[in-house]
Amino acid sequence: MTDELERLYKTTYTAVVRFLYRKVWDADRAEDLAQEVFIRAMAHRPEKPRAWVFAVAANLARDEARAAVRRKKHLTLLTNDPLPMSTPDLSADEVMEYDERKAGVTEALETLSARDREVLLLWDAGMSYPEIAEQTGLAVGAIGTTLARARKRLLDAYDRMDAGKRRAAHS
Amino acid sequence: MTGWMQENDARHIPEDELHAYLDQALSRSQCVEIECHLAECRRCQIDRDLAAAARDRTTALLAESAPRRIHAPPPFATLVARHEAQVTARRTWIVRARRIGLAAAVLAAVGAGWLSRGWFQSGPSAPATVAQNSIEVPQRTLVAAGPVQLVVDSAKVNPDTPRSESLQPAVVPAVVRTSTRLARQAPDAAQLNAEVTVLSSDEETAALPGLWYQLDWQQAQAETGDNLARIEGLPILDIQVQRASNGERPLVVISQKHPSGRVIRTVEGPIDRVQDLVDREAARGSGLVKASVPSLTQPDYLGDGTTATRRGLRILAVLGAMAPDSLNALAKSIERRQ
Ligand SMILES: [Zn+2]
Repeated sequence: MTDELERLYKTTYTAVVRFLYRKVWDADRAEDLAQEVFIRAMAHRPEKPRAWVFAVAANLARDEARAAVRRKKHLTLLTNDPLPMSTPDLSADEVMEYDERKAGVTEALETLSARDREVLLLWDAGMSYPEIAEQTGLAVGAIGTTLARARKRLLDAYDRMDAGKRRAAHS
Repeated sequence: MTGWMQENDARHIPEDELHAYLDQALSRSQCVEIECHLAECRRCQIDRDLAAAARDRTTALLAESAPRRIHAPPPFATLVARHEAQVTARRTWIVRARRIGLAAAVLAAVGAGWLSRGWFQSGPSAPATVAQNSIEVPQRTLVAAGPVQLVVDSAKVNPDTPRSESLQPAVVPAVVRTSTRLARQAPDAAQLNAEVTVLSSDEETAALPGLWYQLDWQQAQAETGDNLARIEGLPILDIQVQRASNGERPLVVISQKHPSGRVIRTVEGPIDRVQDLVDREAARGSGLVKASVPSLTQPDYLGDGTTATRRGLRILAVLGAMAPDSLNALAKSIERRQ
């Protein structure tokens, strides 16, 4: 069991962090939560550890996001967010460009319905259709439909915002 | 499968199946069926290429939204050790709780309540409440071992009250004494004029991780999933929440005003963290604050209606400057409600 979990940890930790990151938008927090997920897996010994890990990650993130919204409103004096991570291999321009693109994707993701976004992120985290179905409660046959729609909407939203920005830059 | 090739008007491959096909989510026979059609249908070839492009672009965009850098995962052994530490803490506590009788334990205080002394003396933080029209509660003592930040809940600060920011010490070297007053008002109208939360130093948070936040009712409900253990009918003086560093259920301390004028605190949270708080107080042995026998409450679940994850046992204790029997009775009333 532990061996299996250890293997899973090594192969999916990064995917879990990425998955969490797109929900909490804080890299350190995403890493903390990801580690917590695996610690919990040791206690629960789930039958399907991979699906379980993502299900728990989704739950933790949901809880976290709810709390974060409240906290942000409340703790105005504590808003010194951690400094952006230094990336010595990128120039300042590159970092700015990166941040802009990322902001665009983030915004585009936010335009999706919660369910579409969840399915998309689970797919991106490497889960199979049956695993996604089990986690979201959707029928396996509905995953393709949901993904097709989510992909299209994400791209549309991103392109729309991108075009808007370019117009703004030219005027 | 869906029979999309048999129907006259829908002889082409639906988009969702193209996505499922590209995602390799179809059975071998379904793939064969699709590939046979694709080999002969120009229109579906175009659709497939469009779907593939959308899929690839989405993947690329999502890659952009990944964190710029993810630290190397800690060795698995580290997580195993953390897990084992949690299990040990939990087990100790369950044994203790059973021994005491599982119904309700109390560190209760004679006199002005656990606020007055000790509880947070070396603890992670303490709520300092200041109000006018108040009865005086004996002094509380805060000892800070390192840098301290002050947080002011500006929404609740009365303009007449001196602003708490002026207190901002970068470092509190030794002992800060604060005279604490609690509002004397109608039970349902008790309100604090100013509230200050002292955040602990790193050293202290290592012993009891996390920061204490002072929240209002709605915020606290959001934080805990609308499940706040408190004594029905008593005005709430303040709510302190210590968020877990790991996304587990937070530790919540709700202060309420008993008709006797005493402050009653209901502490509820993950079993080992409540234990930690109660143990600290017990170790201090000031004898002022007593606690009800800690009682296990239902494990709670995190869920969205379709899935639910068990967050484990919770425990609550009621603390106050009252006879243990009274505190036990108060704790029991909470249990019944839940
Ligand atoms: Zn066709």
